[in-house]
Amino acid sequence: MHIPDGILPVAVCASGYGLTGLATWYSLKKIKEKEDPRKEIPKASLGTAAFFVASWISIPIPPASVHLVLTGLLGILLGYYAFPAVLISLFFQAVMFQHGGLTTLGVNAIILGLPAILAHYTYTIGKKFLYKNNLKYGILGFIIGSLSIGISVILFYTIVITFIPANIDVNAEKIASLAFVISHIPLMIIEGIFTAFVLIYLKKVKPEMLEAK
Amino acid sequence: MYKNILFALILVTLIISPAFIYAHGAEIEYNANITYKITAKYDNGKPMAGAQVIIYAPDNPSTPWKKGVCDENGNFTFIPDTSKKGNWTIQVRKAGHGTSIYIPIDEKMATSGKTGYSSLQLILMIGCVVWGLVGTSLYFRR
Repeated sequence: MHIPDGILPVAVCASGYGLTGLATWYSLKKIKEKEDPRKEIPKASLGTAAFFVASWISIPIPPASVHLVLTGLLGILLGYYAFPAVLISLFFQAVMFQHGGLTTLGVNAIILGLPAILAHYTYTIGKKFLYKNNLKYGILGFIIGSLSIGISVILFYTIVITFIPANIDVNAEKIASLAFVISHIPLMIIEGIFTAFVLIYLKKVKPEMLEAK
Repeated sequence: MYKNILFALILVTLIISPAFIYAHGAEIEYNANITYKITAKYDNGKPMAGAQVIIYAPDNPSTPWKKGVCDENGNFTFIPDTSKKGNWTIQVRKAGHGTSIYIPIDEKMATSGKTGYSSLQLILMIGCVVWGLVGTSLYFRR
């Protein structure tokens, strides 16, 4: 779900940077409003590392292979730190491995970071009602984990399909992109189950980690 | 008279004989008609089967010189027009994923090349980034 360099027009890349700038500014503003903004930096740093490494663990799902994304879990655990964490990780992936691209860094940050922020809001509201019951809490984790992937895939698909260059066979690209979307449905389920298990596990052994606000 | 005829016969024989010699010889020409094979893969090693390939010649980087599709192994072959010297751009794209590679075609033609890193380089770089992030975590945890 990382759009590489040379795929999107310059105007779209610039707009992506603009939106990412706004989202980063808003996240940092919220972080600064905390009593001790430095307190959660260790957790955010480890979350960034997990997001960075997760993109290298491939799960073969024919006709493609997909990898864990963890944006839903990041949103739950890191709150407003999630967007900067995604941005930093994407920067390293683009600079070091050409996984994504520097010109498309802004667009990719929106594709993957926006669902993380939405996950944070959904979790904040949902846990008030569902925290006490393990099953309901797990379902909340499943919904957040899978929906985060779903939103990212829809954003990716919409952007790629909307801005297909003239030199490309549009129909072939649309069919390939649709196959890409379908190949991510199993990942939505896997990521949902993974998020649910992590939430229930952390609730039992380290509930303070789930207090991100 | 007889001498004149004999002289004329010898002269004709001398002139024609090299032509006979050439007729029994052989000629060989050579022209380099180099075929380039590109192999497009995702970064997990899976071939980009059916990916679209667009080739731009150095003299016209905005209009494709040739278009095509990778086979099931991610392979695509083409013979460039070697009279067009410079960097040829080959773009591969499938479902919003892809990359470009540049092939120099001039006096020092590239026989092979690739984008990306080796597995060892990747592991080393991943290790460095993870260590940096863990280090940051430990620093702020003090």
